Amino acid sequence: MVPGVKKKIYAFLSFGWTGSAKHWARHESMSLILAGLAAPLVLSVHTIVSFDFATSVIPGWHTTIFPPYFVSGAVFSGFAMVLTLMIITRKAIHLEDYITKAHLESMNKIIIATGSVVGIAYITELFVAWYSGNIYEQYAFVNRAFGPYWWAYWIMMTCNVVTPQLFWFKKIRRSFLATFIISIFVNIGMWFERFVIIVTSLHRDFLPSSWSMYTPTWVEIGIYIGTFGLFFTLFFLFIRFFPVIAIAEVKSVLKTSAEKFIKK
Amino acid sequence: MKQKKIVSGYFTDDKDLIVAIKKLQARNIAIADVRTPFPVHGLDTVLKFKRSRLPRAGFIAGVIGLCVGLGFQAWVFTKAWPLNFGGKPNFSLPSFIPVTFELTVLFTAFALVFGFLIRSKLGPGSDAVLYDEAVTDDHFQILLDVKDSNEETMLQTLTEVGAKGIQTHEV
Amino acid sequence: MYKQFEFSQKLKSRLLILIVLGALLAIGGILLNLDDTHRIWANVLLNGFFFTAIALGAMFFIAVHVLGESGWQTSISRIPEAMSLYVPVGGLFMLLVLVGMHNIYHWSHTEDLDAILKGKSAFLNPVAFSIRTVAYILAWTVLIFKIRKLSLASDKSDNIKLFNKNRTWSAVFIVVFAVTSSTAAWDWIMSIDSHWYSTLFGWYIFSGFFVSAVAMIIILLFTLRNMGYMQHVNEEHLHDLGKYLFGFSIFWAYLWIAQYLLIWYSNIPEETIYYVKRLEDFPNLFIINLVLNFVAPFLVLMARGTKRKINILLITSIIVLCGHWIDTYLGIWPGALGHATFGILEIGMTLFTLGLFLFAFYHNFAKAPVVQENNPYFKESFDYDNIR
Repeated sequence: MVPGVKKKIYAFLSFGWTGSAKHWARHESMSLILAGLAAPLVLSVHTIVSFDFATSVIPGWHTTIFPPYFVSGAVFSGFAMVLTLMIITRKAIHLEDYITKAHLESMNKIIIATGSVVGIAYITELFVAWYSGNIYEQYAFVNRAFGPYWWAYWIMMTCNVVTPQLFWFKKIRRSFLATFIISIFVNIGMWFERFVIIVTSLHRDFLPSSWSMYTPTWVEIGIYIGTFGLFFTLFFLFIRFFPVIAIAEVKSVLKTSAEKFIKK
Repeated sequence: MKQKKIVSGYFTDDKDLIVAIKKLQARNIAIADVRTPFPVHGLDTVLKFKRSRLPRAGFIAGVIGLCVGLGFQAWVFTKAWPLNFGGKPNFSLPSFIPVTFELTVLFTAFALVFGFLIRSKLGPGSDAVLYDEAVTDDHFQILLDVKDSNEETMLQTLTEVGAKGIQTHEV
Repeated sequence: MYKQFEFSQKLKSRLLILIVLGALLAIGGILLNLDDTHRIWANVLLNGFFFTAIALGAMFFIAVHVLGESGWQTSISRIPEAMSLYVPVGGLFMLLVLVGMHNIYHWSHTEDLDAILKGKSAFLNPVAFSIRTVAYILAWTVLIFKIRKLSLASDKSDNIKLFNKNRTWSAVFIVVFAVTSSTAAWDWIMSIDSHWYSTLFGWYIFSGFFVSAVAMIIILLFTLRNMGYMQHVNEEHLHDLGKYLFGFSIFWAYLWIAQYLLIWYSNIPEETIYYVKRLEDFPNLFIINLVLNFVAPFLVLMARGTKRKINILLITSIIVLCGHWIDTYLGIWPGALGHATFGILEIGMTLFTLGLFLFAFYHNFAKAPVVQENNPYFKESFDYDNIR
């Protein structure tokens, strides 16, 4: 693109930002509250998604742990996807000096924490299904683990609960290659989690006459591939045309700029 | 229209900037504006900014959002279009909570973002002038208003506090 | 520089008066209600569990901060540390509950069980229940003592190995806690309503006692400052404690509504019965619970300034602590008694256990320096600001 035109577009999009101290102060104040709003909003988004399942009376869907467990699962899969993309991007556009092993380790700690929370939620569901004494709940969970879709359940269990436990080892936590591989496992595992929840609960109805197996149509496969395409197109456009690292934010958390750190 | 003159100088380190601002303040020189590439922590206290009123605006908007969300649902489900959902009462507070929460957040966020843009005079087509493009990169700039008589002394003071690239701009 | 805390004779005698007064009231209450054994044992469980859980929440507070490598809390970490040492004392109450379990837990009458309870009896039977209770108390006590020992050792040596070891043991504690906090909540509270079940219940109870632990930390910090100690704690530390109180009050309310809403929507009688009992027999407490635990801290602590003033924090903490006492009460009374009771028995038992808790806290707090000066993050805890 012509540099002049490009500059005009960026200038327009910058809304007349001059970096004035007063603007920064307001910006900080606003960001703090927006962040404060965004945190419960994330909770609410995944909570409402979980309500779509849990307010029903379908065995395997109606369970009260769903809201926090979906939130934790979302953080878990979100971090895994970020790690997958981050490790590739870091290599591709040479951000090795900005994204370090320390960042990797911190993110992997979140992965292990949320992954374990999700694991505890799976086991809680399983246990309470037995504990409830409700035969439909009990059947739903036995069917999940040992029915026709047993493979989906055990892929989910291995990828989501077992593989992240490798991050207890510091060497693995700080290795880009190992993290990349495990993050792919988590992505697969979290896809299967949704598959397990939706398909295994729906393929067995209360009436055995409605029992069936799931086969995707070409429309579903198309939508699946299409969402990948849409996501990656937008992601690549973003890293192509916008700064990948918000340097202003990185700088502002470096403590050198705080007034009390000035030595006489 | 009377022309306004502005004197500018920059630093390449945020610590030097804060030290210089303190020196200027000690000489009772009013600082028109400070421009930095990132939010320098502690700068707002040095410049004696009052705490922004945006949080308060956000709170008020949030309360309005809460009332609108709750009120609208109550009106729709009891007066305008009552429907029976699974035998639940038409006015059932628990089911209103998610929507009420989301409208509260929406109103607050709108108030904050638009309040911020309007208050800072930012937005598409803004005519703000960057005297030095490097303030988005590595320059920490101080701007001083010039009242006709003392342009020379202003330039002099800026040099004395250690600023570089001292210039006069006419607006 | 950091004034060593001394458990003065005056404070000691005041707390002893509180304990004795509580004990006398409790004994009076027991004598007046000898025929209502359910009520007596429910009181033991309520106060035993409430304060043990607070001590446990305090340990979780430390462990999670050590694992997260945060710095700010090192200025106050000795307070939750001393609180956590109450676990074995509170554990005695839980062991006492084992004696009277027939008065609280319907499933413990093994001779006349219906089909549902028979199905659960592999988990819910007196022997397994007792073994688990003892195991929880033992596991927590061992880990808490281990972490305390490492923390005390770090006062004498600045060897970084101690800190790393502490981190390892904190991780062990978190793993144990993650499982036992849920199962203990099922055992001790959820199984009172023997037929009812909720997968969320363990986390709901956790959020409640964790926020109570934060409230208790603030209250104890206030008392210490009032006596002239802990003067190094500044507004930023208070702000962070305030954020905890605010955030986890919201988190508690979130879990509360998540559980309520899902049961209310699905309208399955086996589940709704839990709330039907509470709404019909405890209508006022049901609302008060929400007001004290969510509305009050939410409105008061929303503004920035209120989180930085210890007096406002103190009042909010007391409200929240009372609120969670009521929340625990609402978890036990409907299942164990079926109707609300409040008299000198409840007051006496609460004062008695509160007195024991405070006595144990000050006793343990006096045994160690008030801060961990050798913690590598100690300096950092004074080098930060909260954004305006």
